[in-house]
Amino acid sequence: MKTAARSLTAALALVALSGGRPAPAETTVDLALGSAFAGGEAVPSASAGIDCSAQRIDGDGPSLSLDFSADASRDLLDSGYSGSADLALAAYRLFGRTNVGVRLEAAGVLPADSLDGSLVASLAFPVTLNGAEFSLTVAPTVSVDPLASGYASAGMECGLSFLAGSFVLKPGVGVSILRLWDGGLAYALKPGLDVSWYPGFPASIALSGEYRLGEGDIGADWLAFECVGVAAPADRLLFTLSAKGYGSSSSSSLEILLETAFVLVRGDSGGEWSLPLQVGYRDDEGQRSIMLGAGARLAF
Amino acid sequence: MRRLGLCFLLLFLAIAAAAGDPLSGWFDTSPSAGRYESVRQELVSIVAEATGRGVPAELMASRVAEGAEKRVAPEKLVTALRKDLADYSAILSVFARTMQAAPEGRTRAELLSRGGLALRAGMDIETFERAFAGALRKGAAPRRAVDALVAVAAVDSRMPLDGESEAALAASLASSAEKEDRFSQLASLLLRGKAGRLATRDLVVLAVSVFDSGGGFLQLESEISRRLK
Repeated sequence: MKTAARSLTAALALVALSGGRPAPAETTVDLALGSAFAGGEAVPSASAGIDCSAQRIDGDGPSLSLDFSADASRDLLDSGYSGSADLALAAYRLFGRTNVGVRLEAAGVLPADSLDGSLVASLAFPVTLNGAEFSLTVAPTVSVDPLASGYASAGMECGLSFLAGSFVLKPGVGVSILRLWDGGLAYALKPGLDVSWYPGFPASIALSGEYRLGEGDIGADWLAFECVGVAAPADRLLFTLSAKGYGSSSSSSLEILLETAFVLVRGDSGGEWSLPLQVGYRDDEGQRSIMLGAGARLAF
Repeated sequence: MRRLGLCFLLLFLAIAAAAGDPLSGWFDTSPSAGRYESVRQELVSIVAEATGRGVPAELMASRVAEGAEKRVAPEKLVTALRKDLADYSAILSVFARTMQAAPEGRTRAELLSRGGLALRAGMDIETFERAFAGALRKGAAPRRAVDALVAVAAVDSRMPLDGESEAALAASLASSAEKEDRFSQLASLLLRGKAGRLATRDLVVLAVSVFDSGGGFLQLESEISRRLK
């Protein structure tokens, strides 16, 4: 934990001390109480989360950004817990209309009763060729999961982005080779498509889907998707509807969450205090549950 | 909403060219005008005052017709029209201070109509002037600058920005390579970042940086998507 804190502090300092156009770091803290209802039983839980972002942008030099988030929840009946954290540090520089960057990400999930833990670190070198109506991104990537059930992988992701009216379309494909720590070898091909809609009023919808075709010791092929809809019908009201899931020949999951956030207090310096209310549905391997939650969100 | 206002404005520009006094013509011909006979003299007086200040009578008359179409109560329509007159007069003063040649004719009416949208969305006149002047200094055409102000006012109505951020964002958007008909998408684009827990200040700095470096909405969308949780 101390090592992680020192790494985060060093990364924040790197962003803060570098030259260019600064944007003060903003932190969002979430606290919530909720309950999941399944099979006539209610399982209350408490959760907390933090998101922190900082960036420094320089039109002539490199631009840096740091995003950190962590969340944890505790089952109030049997004291079970779950938690995850991720950190992304990116540096980019523009050469004409070509954006060249390096991106380091680390994501971890704590082991829990029904869940193996994971720790994945990845390093990508994205190069983006920007046009007025399209952009092309190529990103060689290496990643490693050092845990016993983990792997090391190398791959390449290519994606196109283009505008079609108020839609942004992003077809892409990724190829990777994975060396599993238990000796297996696998290949993966991941074609995907993102479609985002940005109308002329404050709302948006983003859909993304990815199909993984695996070969070797990698398990079944799977299809993953995510959909996020956002709408702000009033200045202190924000609706977010998200749905995500995956399916393969042997397993599937689906999670749908609707959040309504009321802004209660808005400060002069950009901070705000809001009240999020959540209702959700989860189907994990046939185990269905309804979730209700309420809490407080503080952004400063 | 903006298209509806422009339709009324163009209609009244055509009526004015044919008839001379658009408000009298409207009272004589519009089926919804009868509801406003009780405040006719006040409306006529405000329109006459507007003409004296250089605000096109057709623009004021189009606002009257727009309010009548929405069945606004007569007293509220008078109050709203006085506010419009104050807004348009203030915008004309901004044009006089920041433009080498004041806009005339239809151009003046269109710029005032669009500028009025920004003020009605909540932008204050000081920010309007700072942003408009900044956009002109960066080489933007006046109409493009006003359209950028309207887009930024729409952003501010859902995710409040400080005056400095509004001015910087509007000036960068106006002088960007992006097409004007996409400006209205700025609010939904930044709202997606806000919903993904990106800081409002980060989003503004990011947008200004992208626009200033020659990029448009596509590049901004890519940058926001990259950082979403």
